[in-house]
Amino acid sequence: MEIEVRLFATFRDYLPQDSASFSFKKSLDKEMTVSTIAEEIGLPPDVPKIFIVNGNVVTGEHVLHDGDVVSIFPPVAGG
Amino acid sequence: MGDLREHLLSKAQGDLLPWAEQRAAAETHGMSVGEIEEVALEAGLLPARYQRNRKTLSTADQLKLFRSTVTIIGCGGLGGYVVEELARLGVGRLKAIDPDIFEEHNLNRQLMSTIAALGRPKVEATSARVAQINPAVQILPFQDRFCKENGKSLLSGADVAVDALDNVTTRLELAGVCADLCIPLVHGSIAGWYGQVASQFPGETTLQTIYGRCADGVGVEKHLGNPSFTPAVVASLEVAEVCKILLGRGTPITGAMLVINLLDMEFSKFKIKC
Repeated sequence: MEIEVRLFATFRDYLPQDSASFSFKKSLDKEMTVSTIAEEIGLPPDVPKIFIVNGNVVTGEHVLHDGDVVSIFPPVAGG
Repeated sequence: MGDLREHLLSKAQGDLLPWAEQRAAAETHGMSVGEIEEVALEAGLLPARYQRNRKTLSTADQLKLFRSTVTIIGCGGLGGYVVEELARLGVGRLKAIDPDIFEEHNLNRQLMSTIAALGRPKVEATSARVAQINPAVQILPFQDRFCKENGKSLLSGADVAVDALDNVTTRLELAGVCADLCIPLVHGSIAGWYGQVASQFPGETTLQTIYGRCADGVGVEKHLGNPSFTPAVVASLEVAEVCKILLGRGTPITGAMLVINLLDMEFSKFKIKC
């Protein structure tokens, strides 16, 4: 199965080098959670993450399915 | 009051009331310039300062804005620009809340901060600025830290609340008080090149959904800081949301979040299913 990963703000630095714009496709050969995806990409473990899958904010334990679009943000909280 | 109305109509240039006439009428009738402004708008006269608004906002819209109250929580990077723009827009009553004084590290971005204002309360400088640019606007400063204990009192009477805070914990408390009082909340936050904006109406839980799992209360701004332009952009978007909500016009960012990336100049809107 294949998913689309979109990274935002400072997480943009972790996009694969060949990715177009701010997203990339990722093939999965088994079920994975969004947290596992974040680890595989190399996102810093000490930065909290906001996961949105197909428009729904989900926990890190959310299991991804074929065709899912997962967007990952760091919290932006300054004023 | 009929005499005052006739007096203002006689002093108008077309349907514009010059500032000098507004101020003179206030002195002659022992009223505030704000009270004169309301009578003028009721009579269909537009204070001349708003003449460049008129293709966007009608005189009736200006009257509606003038009769509105907006509470701004935070008078730092976002809040300074928000207060400035709302005052210039002609929103009649602003309540500005912030516990802090200006410090040197505010000077790179906080509109109300000046060298002369260093060490002064942010709300005091904010109030003085509004008096300089639009004395018809009533500004009520509160040098206080917003929390759920004082929130209901501080937000009482607000038509819209503006989130110009700098941490997650207080934002979630603000969202809770707004929900209890059924007040629409316009959210903005910034970090470095990045920002986000959302409007939350009573019954919605966009902010709680976005920030609910950010337990430590801070975001990436702790490492990125904030340059001069990001608060200006995000604050302006917040003011546009406030204006639309007050007038019942257009399409606010509701049930969604606008994510702003000024480094790559990308604006992305996400639906947030709560």
